[in-house]
Amino acid sequence: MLIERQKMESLSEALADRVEKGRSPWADARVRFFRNRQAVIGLCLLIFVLAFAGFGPLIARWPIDEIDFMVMGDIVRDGAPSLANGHYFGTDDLGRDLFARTVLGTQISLAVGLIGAAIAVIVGTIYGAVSGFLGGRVDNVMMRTVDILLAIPYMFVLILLLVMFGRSVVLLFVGIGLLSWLDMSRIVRGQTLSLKGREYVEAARATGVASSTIIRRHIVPNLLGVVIVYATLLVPGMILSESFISFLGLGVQEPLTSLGALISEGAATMNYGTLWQLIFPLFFFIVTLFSFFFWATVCAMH
Amino acid sequence: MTGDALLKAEDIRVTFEIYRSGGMPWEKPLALHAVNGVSFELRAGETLGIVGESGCGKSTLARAIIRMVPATGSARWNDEADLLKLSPREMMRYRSDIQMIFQDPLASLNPRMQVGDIIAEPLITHQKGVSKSEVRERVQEMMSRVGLLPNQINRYPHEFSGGQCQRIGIARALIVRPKLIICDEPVSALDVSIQAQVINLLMELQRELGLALMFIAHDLSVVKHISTRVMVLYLGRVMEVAPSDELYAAPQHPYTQTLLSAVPIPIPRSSATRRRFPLKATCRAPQSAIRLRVPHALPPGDGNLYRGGSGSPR
Ligand SMILES: Nc1ncnc2c1ncn2[C@@H]1O[C@H](COP(=O)(O)OP(=O)(O)OP(=O)(O)O)[C@@H](O)[C@H]1O
Ligand SMILES: [Mg+2]
Repeated sequence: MLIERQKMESLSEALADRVEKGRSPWADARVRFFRNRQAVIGLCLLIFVLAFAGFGPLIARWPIDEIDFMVMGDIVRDGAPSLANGHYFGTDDLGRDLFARTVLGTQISLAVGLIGAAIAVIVGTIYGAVSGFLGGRVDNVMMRTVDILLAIPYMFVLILLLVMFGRSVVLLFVGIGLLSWLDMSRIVRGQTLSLKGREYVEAARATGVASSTIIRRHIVPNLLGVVIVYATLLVPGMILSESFISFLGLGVQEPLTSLGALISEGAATMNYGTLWQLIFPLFFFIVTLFSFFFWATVCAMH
Repeated sequence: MTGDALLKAEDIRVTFEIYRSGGMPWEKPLALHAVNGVSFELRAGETLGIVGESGCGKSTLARAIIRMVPATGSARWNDEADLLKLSPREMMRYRSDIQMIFQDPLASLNPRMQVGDIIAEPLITHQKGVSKSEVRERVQEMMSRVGLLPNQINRYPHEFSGGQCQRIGIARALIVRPKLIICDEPVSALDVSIQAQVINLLMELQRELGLALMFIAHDLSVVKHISTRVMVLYLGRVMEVAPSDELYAAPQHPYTQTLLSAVPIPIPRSSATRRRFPLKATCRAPQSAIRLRVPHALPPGDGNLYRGGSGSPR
C-alpha cells in the first residue's frame, strides 16, 4: 500500500499540471452522431430550413404584403415563378410575392414549434420531476390533475379560445405550449421515479443535500436524454397542430402567415392551374418535419 | 464501556407496511418488521461488522440510523443527541459526521458529474463558505489520499474501473472528515484482488483518522478481517454480538454456527493427490504440438488459446 502510494505520488507530481479533460457521455454521443448518416442528413435539412428562414428576407425582392399590380390581372399567366420579376416562387392569389410569404410562414411555423416545445419541455420537466421526486400524496394530486387536463379535448378548447378571444399569435403559442406539457410531465415523472431509487440520489440524500438541489443536480441532468428525444418529436407535432389550426382559418392573422395557412390557400386554388401556390409551402413544410423526425429517431438511438 | 460510546443504539425497529396487491384501499396493511429491536454500541475507532443472510435487514438498519427510513427506538450520538428524534434541520449537523459507502460503486456516482464535483458534494453542502479553489485543493488532496490520480479530477465516473469508483466513493465520504462511516457491502461488487485493496485502504484510513466503521458484508472472512466486533442479524433480530475472534472461534448461537458452517473454506488438496495440467506450450509452438501437450481439458487450438481464456469477463 505504502509503495503504491509513493508510486502514485511521484506519478501525480509528474502529471500535476496536466489536468486531464474528461470526456462526458455527451462528447461520446457527439462522436457517434457524426458517424451516423441519417443524423447528418437530418442536420443538413435542418440547417437548410433554418438558413431559408433566416436569410430568406435578404434574398426576397418583395415585401410580404405588397400587391404586384403587374401580375394581378391574370395570376395564372403572369404570377408563375419567374426570376425576371423577382417572384421566385410566383405570387399568391392576390398577387403578393410567395417567396417572401413562404419565408415568413416558415419562420412562424418554426417559432411556434420551437417555442411551444420549449414551453412544454420547461413546464413538463419541472412539474414531472417535482411530482416524481416528492412522491406520495403530492405526486398523486399532481398526476391526477394532469389526468383531468388530458381528458379535455385540447384542440377543441384551443379552437374555442381562438374564436372567443380573437386570433392572435400569442394565444396560439401559449395555448399549444401549455397544453402539450402534459404528456411531457408524465414521461418525466416515470423516469424520475426510476432515477429516485438510484444509489447516487440516495447518497446525496444521505449527506443531506436539499431536495431542490438534488432535482437540479442529479435528476434533471440524467433526464435530459429522454427529454431531448421527446422534445424533438414535439416540435413537428407543434408545427402540425399549428398548421391544422391555420388550415381551419383560425391561425395567425393576415398579413402574417404560416406554412399551414399557405398550404390551405394553395390547396383552395389548386384546380385553377396555380399549382406552385401549393407546392412551395408544402415542400418546406415536409422538409421541416422530416428534419425534426430524423433528429428524433437519431436521438432516440443514443 | 457506556460513557464513551460514539453511537449507542437501543431497540431500533423499522416496520414497513405492505399493502396486499389487489387489496382494497381501506384494508389494513401487513406489517413487515425489517429491523426488530436491534441494540448495539459503537466506539470511536472501532469497527462493527454486521453479517446475516440476504434480506435480514442489514441495509435497513443502516438506513434507519441516517434517517432514510422512519424508525423507532433510540440512537444516541456521542451522548448529546438522539438521531432518531431530531428534526430534519437538526439532523443536518450530524449528517456530515456520518457518511455512507455503497455497494455498487458505479451506480453510487452520478454519471453526468465530474469526479471532482462528486467528491466535493458533501463539502459544499455542509461547509457553505469554502472558496472554489480551496474545495478543489481539498478534493485533490483527498483523491491522492485514497489512491487516485489528482489530475483525473475532471473525468467522468464511467471512465474508471470498479475499484477506482469505490475509491471515489470513499473520498466522497471522507471529505467532510466524518466520525462514522457506514459501509453497506462496499466490496461485494468488486473483484477479489480489488476487494483486498479497498479493505486495506479502509483499514489504513481508519487507523489514521480514528474513524468508526459499521461494516456490512456477506463475506464472513472479510468481516472477520476488518471487524473488532461482529453482530449477527437474522430476520431483523440480533442473534449474537461478540468480538470477532471469539465469534469465529466459538460461536454461541445456533444460527451463527449454521452461518459459519456455510462458509466455503478453501482447502487445497495435497499436491500428491492432485492432478495437475501444466501448460507448457509457447506461442511459437505449432498447432500439433499444442494438441499433444495440452490434455483433454482444453479444446484443440483454434487461436483462442493464444488469447488466454475465451469469454473471460473483464
Ligand atoms: N422500502 C421498503 N419497503 C418495503 N419493504 C422493504 C423496503 N426496504 C426493504 N424492505 C424489506 O426489508 C427487508 C430487509 O431488507 P434489507 O435491504 O435491509 O436487507 P439486507 O439485509 O440489506 O439484504 P442484502 O444482504 O440482500 O442487501 C427485506 O425483506 C425487504 O424486502
Ligand atoms: Mg443490503
